[in-house]
Amino acid sequence: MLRLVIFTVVTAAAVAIAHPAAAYPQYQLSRDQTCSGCHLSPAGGGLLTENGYSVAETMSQFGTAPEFLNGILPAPSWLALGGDLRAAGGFIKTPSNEPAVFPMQAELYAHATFEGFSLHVTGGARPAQWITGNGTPGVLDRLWSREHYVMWQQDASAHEGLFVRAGRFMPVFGLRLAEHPVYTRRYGGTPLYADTYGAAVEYVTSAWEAHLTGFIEDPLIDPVSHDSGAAAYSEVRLNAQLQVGGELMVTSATDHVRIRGGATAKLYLPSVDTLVQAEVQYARTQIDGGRAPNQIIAYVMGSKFLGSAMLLDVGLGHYDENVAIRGLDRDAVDVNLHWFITSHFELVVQNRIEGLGVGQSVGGPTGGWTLLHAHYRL
Amino acid sequence: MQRLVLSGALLVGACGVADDRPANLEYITNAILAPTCAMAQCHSAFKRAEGDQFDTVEAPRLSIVGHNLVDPLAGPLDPAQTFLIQSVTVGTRNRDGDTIRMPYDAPMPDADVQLIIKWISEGAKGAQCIANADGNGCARFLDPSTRQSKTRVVKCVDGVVGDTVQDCTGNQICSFSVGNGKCSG
Repeated sequence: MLRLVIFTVVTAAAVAIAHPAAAYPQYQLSRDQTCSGCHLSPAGGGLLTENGYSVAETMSQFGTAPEFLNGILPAPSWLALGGDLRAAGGFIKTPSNEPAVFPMQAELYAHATFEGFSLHVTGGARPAQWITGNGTPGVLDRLWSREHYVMWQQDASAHEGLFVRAGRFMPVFGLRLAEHPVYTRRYGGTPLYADTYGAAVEYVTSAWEAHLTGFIEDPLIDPVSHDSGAAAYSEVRLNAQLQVGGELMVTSATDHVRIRGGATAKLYLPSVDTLVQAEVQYARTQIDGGRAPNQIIAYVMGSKFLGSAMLLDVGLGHYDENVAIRGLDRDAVDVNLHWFITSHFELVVQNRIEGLGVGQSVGGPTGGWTLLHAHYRL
Repeated sequence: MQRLVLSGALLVGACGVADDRPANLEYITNAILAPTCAMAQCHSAFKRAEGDQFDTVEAPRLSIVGHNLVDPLAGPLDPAQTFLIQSVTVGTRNRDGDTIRMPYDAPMPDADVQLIIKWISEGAKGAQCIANADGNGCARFLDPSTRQSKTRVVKCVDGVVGDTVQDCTGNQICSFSVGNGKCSG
């Protein structure tokens, strides 16, 4: 038993399924028109606005006070505080079934506003980097600030208009699903912890929004992504239920130059309280040595709201590592059931089955997982 | 008509079958290892799980040479038996003695495994050695007279073994982890 516990904890350090999540884009169109309608950041995710608090309270089984620490620690009007704690456990198919229990996120947020300017800091736990010689990482090796940026916004009260940000954050690109193992994030230019230093000019209205971000490889730490470049994303809401978007990202690193282009779409069906969202991306990577594999990355998710406190997501992913070669494409089916128990506490059952070269004579082993994920928003 | 259908079927069947991808470290790193293995919690520079990193060409070179993941010149070499290939096909033991197959969160296509095997069978160029400040590295070779594995100091450029500088004799060895680029011990 002890061996099993040790094993699960150790493998937790290696697993790539964990960690901080952004917002739920399932709420866009279905509950509000824009991400900034519910979040302080124009990109969505993290700290909530008053409207976001209201949605959190409404979308829960036992609607508790939605404010930071249930409102027992009131903050001055210029300061917003928050945080997220997440952990998960279950089985991962690698292709053998391995038990896994792991922390996902322990972060605090602070957002101070001064007239039109604001300072945002996200700080918390990070996976410690391996230390050669079996050294044990110290406390400081396990802490970092994933996000920190200064922002100017045209209209601080409306959460719309022009935003300008500079600092460390994730470039806005694509659907921005919270579940980072979805192919359009993992293989699509915004993998977990790819936050880096950059500057962004963003414009958000209820009818349309556009985000342009220039970014560099993080010069201060050993980063997840070594790419520097620019990302552009825009979406237009054709009506209250339908929006379409376009994306373009050009990056370079020591060994390659990569271009990504794609489209997104969201359709809300109010009669069945269901949102369908999709993203298709084409990527071409020019690798030193002359080859440039063409890739297709796609994800479509249907989200059905079940009553006032549950959300069922069914997602289909496709990633073709090199469209010229058979057997290099992978497909996944994700089924996630969210239960928003209180305004702060959520349980999610997450399941994936993933196949390689599906329907072809070549491919590879089958993978997947089933996990119970607990999330507490401070 | 039958011939037309047959020709069409052959064309469709042939489409995308031939794997003409280059079996070199640059391609394998950028197209396979980095997107598959270098996730935030795994073998990225950010985490460097188990001390291995696979996100830039320099990184797998250092991991492969430093941790003997391939041992390309220790012939006779069976690429399928190297640590790197074993880890993505049947699993390898970690520090706690548990056998874990990589990648941990998403399987690797057989065709990618075959491309890495091909690269190893062709000598794992790009990850044969690491140059020290003098441009020297270590290489292993099979002594034809004794059939024993021995080591030597070699010139090393971009991870490729060049001219022999010195054969290590007696109990001396040349190893990346023990005085890289010189015979010691």
